[in-house]
Amino acid sequence: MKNADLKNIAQQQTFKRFDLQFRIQHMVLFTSTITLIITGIPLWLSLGGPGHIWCSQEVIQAFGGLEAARIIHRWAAAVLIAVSVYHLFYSIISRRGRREFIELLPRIKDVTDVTHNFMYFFGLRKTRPQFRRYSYYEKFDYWAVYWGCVIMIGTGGVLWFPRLAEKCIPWLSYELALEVHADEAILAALALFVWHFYNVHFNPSRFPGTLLWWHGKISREEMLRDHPLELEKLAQEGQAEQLS
Amino acid sequence: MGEITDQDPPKYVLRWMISGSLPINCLSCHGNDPAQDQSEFALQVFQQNHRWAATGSCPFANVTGDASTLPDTYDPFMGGFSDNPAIKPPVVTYDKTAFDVKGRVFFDIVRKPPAWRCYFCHSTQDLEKAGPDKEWTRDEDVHLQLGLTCVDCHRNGLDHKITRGAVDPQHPDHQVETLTCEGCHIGDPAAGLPTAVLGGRLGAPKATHPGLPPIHFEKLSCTACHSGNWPGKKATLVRTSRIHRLGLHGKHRREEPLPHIAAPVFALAEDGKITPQKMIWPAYWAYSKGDKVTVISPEIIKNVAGKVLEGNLTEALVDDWNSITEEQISQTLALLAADGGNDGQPIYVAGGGIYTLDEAGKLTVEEDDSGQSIAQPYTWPLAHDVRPAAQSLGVNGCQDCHATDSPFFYGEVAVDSPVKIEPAASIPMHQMQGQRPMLYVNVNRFFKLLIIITMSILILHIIGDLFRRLFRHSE
Repeated sequence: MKNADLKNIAQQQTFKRFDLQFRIQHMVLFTSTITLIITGIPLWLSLGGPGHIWCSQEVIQAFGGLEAARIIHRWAAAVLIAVSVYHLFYSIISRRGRREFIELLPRIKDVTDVTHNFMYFFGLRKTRPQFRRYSYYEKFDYWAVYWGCVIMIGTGGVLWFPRLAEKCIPWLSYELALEVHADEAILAALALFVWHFYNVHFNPSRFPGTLLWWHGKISREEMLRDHPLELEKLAQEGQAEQLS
Repeated sequence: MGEITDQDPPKYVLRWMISGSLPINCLSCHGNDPAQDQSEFALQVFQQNHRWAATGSCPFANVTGDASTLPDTYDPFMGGFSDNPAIKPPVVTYDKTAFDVKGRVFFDIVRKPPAWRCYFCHSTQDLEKAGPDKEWTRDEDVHLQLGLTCVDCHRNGLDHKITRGAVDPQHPDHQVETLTCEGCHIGDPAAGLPTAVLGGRLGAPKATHPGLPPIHFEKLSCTACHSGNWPGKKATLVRTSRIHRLGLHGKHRREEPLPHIAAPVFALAEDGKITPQKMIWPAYWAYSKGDKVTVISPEIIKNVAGKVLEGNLTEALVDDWNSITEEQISQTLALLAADGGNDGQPIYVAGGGIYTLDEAGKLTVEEDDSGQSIAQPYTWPLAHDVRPAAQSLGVNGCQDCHATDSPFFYGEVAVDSPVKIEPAASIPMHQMQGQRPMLYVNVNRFFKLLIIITMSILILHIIGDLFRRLFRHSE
């Protein structure tokens, strides 16, 4: 945030939460992820076997056929890999990236916030916990993507290059990678469309959705409600600027 | 094909002189006369009439006599023993009507043997036919139906190293790869001739396999999807020409299915690909010493334990085996141990298990399905009959194989054994394919549990959040 912004915290009505870099990374991430989910569905449906759903050829053809789905799936996977690697470097090399990464690290306060929030849900507490820049569920979203990307990119690589994988990691067989890839994809899709979408779009305070992912700005009201400790910190930094 | 070698004991030298070497009978393949009698050739060989066998199989010659009745001292060039009716030297007589006025006989021989010549040695007969699915209702190999013959694909030069249809790394001529399934139907980029690179030889349709994940070409042979009978719930019994001597006079009896051959069994072949195969479960007595296993001949078994094993000939048969009980196995092993000396521990191999006597003399069975066990079934690939593309596995979609009731993975293979096992044992096909289904099922279960637990907590959180937001005022 710029010095001029810090000085006017008390009067500021909107705050820049995510810069352009972050927003572009997020857009590329969700575009590739949703493409992967859509193209992954016919590939998953055609698996058959124990624990999987059987479906007819007509349903698979409705997605464009297996061959087309596979090609697009792999292109989207390449984009996901690229944005993941970029984000990794961004988090290490860029100062802002490092700062964001540190903010996203789990803390003891997150554990207390979870219990505090659940107690609030059940009426055992009168107030919601106060969150910093990132709440515990936003941190969960972030680290769930980390977990998901590692597993999906790893097992996807085995499926894409089975011969190379057989030489490098013989213990991870094609069949085992396929099983893990399909199952983790289900978990990731559910977490995305149920959990993440509720938190950012469907909860009553934001319904029918937020454009925070587009313009990166958050209102003062939202800051006070969802990230009061962040607002407090900014105000303190603003006072410090004024004094200096 | 058969001649004396340096390893033969001295007592066989004289027999070889009487019987003669067994030359390759070119007419077995190249004879186009339907009257060419391969069964007669086999019978002549049984009688040790080696040097007369090829002649005896010709339609215009007759060989009488039996070299096996001749004593070791018989001189085939001098003759003798004409007044002893038990001794019948082989004699050749020719059908004079087969010779023309100039004393010549027409040899109906062809360069490319017809398919029915190959069938004499390379036929398979299904034994289990029930309901509408009978052998005569099944279609012949699609290549033959479309006008090809066996030797169009299984070619050879003067060296007669006939190609088998699979890439043979030992074959000196790289060109032979083009005579594989891939070579004709897809093309071989590494082949020398431009036409071989393109594929489509002999009018073979180009295989495109739309939508099939390429991993199938690495995991499966072409025959897995295209050859043999459409897989049923269990592998069925078959007989083959070479093992069951189909077509031989006096040797082929319809009532004798032994040895039992199960097919098709989808198992890992030597090249690491899942291939449909024929399978035999071994059953034999042996001595085991360290890593060495020495099979005991039936004659020795009869001498040592004949009284123990022959006592049950009148008992009920297990299928068509002469059944053997565990008590008989124990007694026989004990007798072999007493007779064997330092040859090792006697064992009995049957039905995938290794029977031994422990130190207390109690019979134990070791079952090792690691694939390296000596009790593991013996398999060899089958490639025919090839079904048309419209009848290949996968034509109905992935679920032809990738389904919980698919014969490819879950078809049953009976465990064949003369030891009566109740209930009858069988193993699923995937056990022959190096699959680890329980691992995948357990991984699937783990993730299902993870999904349920994770989503339950998240949904609970959502419900709690909704409840507070909608029905209570937050402070």
